Amino acid sequence: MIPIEQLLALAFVLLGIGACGVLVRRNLLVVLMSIELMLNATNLAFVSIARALGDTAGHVMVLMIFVVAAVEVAVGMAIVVNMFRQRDSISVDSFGTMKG
Amino acid sequence: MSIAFLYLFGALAVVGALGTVLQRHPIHAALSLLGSMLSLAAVYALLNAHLIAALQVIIYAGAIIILVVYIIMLLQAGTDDQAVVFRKAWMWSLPLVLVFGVIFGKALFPIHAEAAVLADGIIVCPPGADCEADCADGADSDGDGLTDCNDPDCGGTLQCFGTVNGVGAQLMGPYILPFEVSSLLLLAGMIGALLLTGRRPKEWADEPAPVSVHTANPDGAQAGGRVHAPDQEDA
Repeated sequence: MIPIEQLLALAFVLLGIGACGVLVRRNLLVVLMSIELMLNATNLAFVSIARALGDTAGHVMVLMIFVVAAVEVAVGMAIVVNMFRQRDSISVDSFGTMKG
Repeated sequence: MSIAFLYLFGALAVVGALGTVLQRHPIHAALSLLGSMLSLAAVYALLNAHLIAALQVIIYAGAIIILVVYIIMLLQAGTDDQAVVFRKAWMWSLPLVLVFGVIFGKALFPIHAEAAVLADGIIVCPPGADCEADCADGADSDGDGLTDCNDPDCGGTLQCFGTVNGVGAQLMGPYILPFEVSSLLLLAGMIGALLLTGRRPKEWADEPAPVSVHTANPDGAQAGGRVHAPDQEDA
């Protein structure tokens, strides 16, 4: 008796909150954290469907997402540090040089 | 009972997520994210994903959040001057998210239905229940190369569900190629992070002192470099 629909709804809510964070926040670090939140929502969907179907393959996918999240944070933080060195700011508004 | 805990930790995860997005100071946002991650780890544990729950605590809470907090302290990222709730960006981002959420929800609905049908048929051996005792461990009693809880000969094939044994058997079996490719991705990420944050040869060349030493005294270049190395660090 697993509330699979409610778990997927929870994953949707977390994904939506993370997407709102990406769209609304101006701080580059908080934007990266919101992306982590969205990845976590995906993990929750994978785990709950794996539990419902009784298939361990979903857990393998979650492990892959862990790897991607770790690499993303490492490279993203390196980029943030570089941007801060260049502009003394990590607000996304101060990086408009690629605007056409 | 476990359903009640599922609701509790799900609600905590949502509260942490809201805190991540709405808190003005990045440190508060990071700590809210930590709470959300830990609540999700509890949810994973309640869903029999034991290995994933442990890795969630170790990787997300242990490594990623620590890295984020460390970078926040390093950069001394300040508080946003405007409260997040009253931003104009909500006017277009919230409808956008809602519209895409409805679209994806509709797309996922067949999966909902199928999974809901199968949800009652899951056999994961509860502790102390009628699963065969010698089939629940990681040994290989009939010697065919499959540990007992993965072995179809041994009855319940789902007794390893979510444990290190079960996920590891999948990872080292049919998913060996993605596993190896993920190690390549980690290596690429490590090299990329080092290249992005490390001191570059171009910057070295821009500073006149080591260059003049090397050109003026090619035989004593090593000694000159050593002498000038502390200045380099100070600059």
